[in-house]
This record gives sequence, C-alpha cells and structure tokens, in this order.
Amino acid sequence: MMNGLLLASLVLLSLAILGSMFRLLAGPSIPDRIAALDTIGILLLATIAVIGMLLRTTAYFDIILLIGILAFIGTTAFARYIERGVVLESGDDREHP
Amino acid sequence: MNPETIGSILESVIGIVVLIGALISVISVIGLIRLPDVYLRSHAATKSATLGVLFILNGAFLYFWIFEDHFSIKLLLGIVFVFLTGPVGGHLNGRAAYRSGVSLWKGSVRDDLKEDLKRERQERQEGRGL
Amino acid sequence: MITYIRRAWAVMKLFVLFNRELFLSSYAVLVQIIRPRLAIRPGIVEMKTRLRSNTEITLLSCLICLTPGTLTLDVAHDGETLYIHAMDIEDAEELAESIRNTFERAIMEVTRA
Repeated sequence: MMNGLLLASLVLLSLAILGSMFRLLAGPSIPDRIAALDTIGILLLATIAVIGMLLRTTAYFDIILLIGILAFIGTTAFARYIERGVVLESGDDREHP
Repeated sequence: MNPETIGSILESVIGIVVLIGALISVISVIGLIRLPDVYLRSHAATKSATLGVLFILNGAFLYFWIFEDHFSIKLLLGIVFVFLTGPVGGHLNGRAAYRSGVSLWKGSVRDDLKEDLKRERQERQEGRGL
Repeated sequence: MITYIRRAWAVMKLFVLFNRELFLSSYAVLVQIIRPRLAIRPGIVEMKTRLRSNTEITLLSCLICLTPGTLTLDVAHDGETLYIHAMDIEDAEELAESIRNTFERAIMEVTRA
C-alpha cells in the first residue's frame, strides 16, 4: 500500500519536473526561466525525500539540505544578475538604479 | 485493535499525505506552464510548489519518526529552510523582473508601481546631475 | 515574565493565523489554475502600512509573499508603502484592508506587546 502510493507520487513528481523543464526551455523572458529552475530545485528535493522513504534510508537527508540551500543561493544570484548586471557589488544598494 | 493494524493505517495515512503533496506540485506546475505572465507564474511556482513540497517533507519526517525511530533534525531544518526561502526567492525574482522591464499581462487591471518607479528614477537622475 | 508569556502567545496566534491563510489561499489559487478558462484579474496594488521598523516590515512582506495569491514586488524608499502583486483583485481597497486587519495587527501584537 505504502510503496504503491510512494511510487505514484514519484511518477507525479517526475511529470512535474518535466513540465517545469518545458517552461525552462520555452520561457519568453529570463525571470521565467529562473522561476522554472527554482521550481525544479524544490521538486528535486521532494523527489529525494520520497526515494529516501522508498529505500528506508536516512542517508539522503544531507542532500535535501544541500539542494535546498543551493537552489536558494542560485535564485538569488540570478535575480541580482538580471536586476543589476553583476552578482556581487560593493557600496550602498540605493546608489544604483 | 492490534498494533499491526494501527501501523498499517498510519503507513497509509503518511502515503496519502505524500501523494497529496505530489498532486499539489503537479497542479502548480500546470499553473507554471499555463498562466500568461512571469508574476502570475511565480504565484503558482514558488508558493504552491512550496506547499506541496512541505507536505512531502512532513510526511517523510513523520515516517522516519514513527517507523524508524529516527527523529531527524536535518529534515526538520530542511522544512524550515524551504518554508523561509521559497517565498523570498519569489519576491527577488518578481522584483528583478519588474525592474528589468518585463511587462504585465494585458488583462491586468491596475498597476500602481509604474508611476512611482518612474518618478523615483527621475528623481535619482536629477540628484545625480546636480 | 508576563510580557514574555503574552509575546509567546502572540507568536503562536500569528503562526496559526498564517497557516490558516496559507491553506485557504492555496486552495483558491489551485482552483484558479485548474479551471478551464482563466477568470483572473491580476494587478499591482499599493498598500500603506502602519509598521515602522525594518524587522516589522520584513516580517510583513515575508508573510504576504508566503500566502499564495499575493506577492510583495517592492518596498518604496519611504519605508511605508508596499507594492503587492495580487492574482485576483475584486476591490483594491478591500485587499489592502484585509491584510491590514489580519497580518499587520498580529505582527503588532508580537512586536509591541
């Protein structure tokens, strides 16, 4: 019972990742692609949690944390890049339009 | 009721929670594909997807706590982290999109930010000219 | 001592309120998405807030972001106007008023207890 439900949710999550892949490739503007990339990261995290439950192992929890952190940092860096043209900068935020 | 039945009922409940999470994720990705502009898409993507993933992670947390006797701080930390960062990422992305000039969907009913942003930029230009 | 207990109670209330809002509005957004014809009126609404300190405004904009259907796009430099992108606007004043009545009041109870 449990395994069947977990497998079904694994299939659904893979479909969701495929769908966001479409938006990643097709998205007309760069922010679209960033949103899609962020979604893929978060869905990957969920997929790994489900796989961990299926295999009854706690070994993958580090990876969940790691992907969560990296997906956020990636989104932040991309957003700053398209807003200002640079990722890291010095000085006051309000100086730049 | 013997412990075995209770165990299998709990197992099914956790499985259903995980399945609900997966369904919410799929629906929000349908929104990501279907909605007409960046801002609407990020409503669907960053928040409903976050909710779905929270369901799945909570299910995993309960599963390992009840059946494997493993109270996982790492998983709890992951839940808190997703909860905090998902919406912040959505905000940064939306702000960057607006400031880099991605236009709103043509069916939008109002836009209070446009005038204010224009005025702000003009003021800054004048301030720099002086 | 009493202050601390009152503040902890206010935090609990904020958390419960927030979870309720999260579920209700997630449901609303998901229904909008799977409806065959899109019937949405999106737009950007400005909202004046009574909160002043940076902590309070950050908390408020995070909570608005976390509720599906509303997204904080920007905060004006005067520090008292939030620009919110909403998915389905019936009445802009009503939307701002409802945020003021729920989140803003709950945050005030936490920070100014």
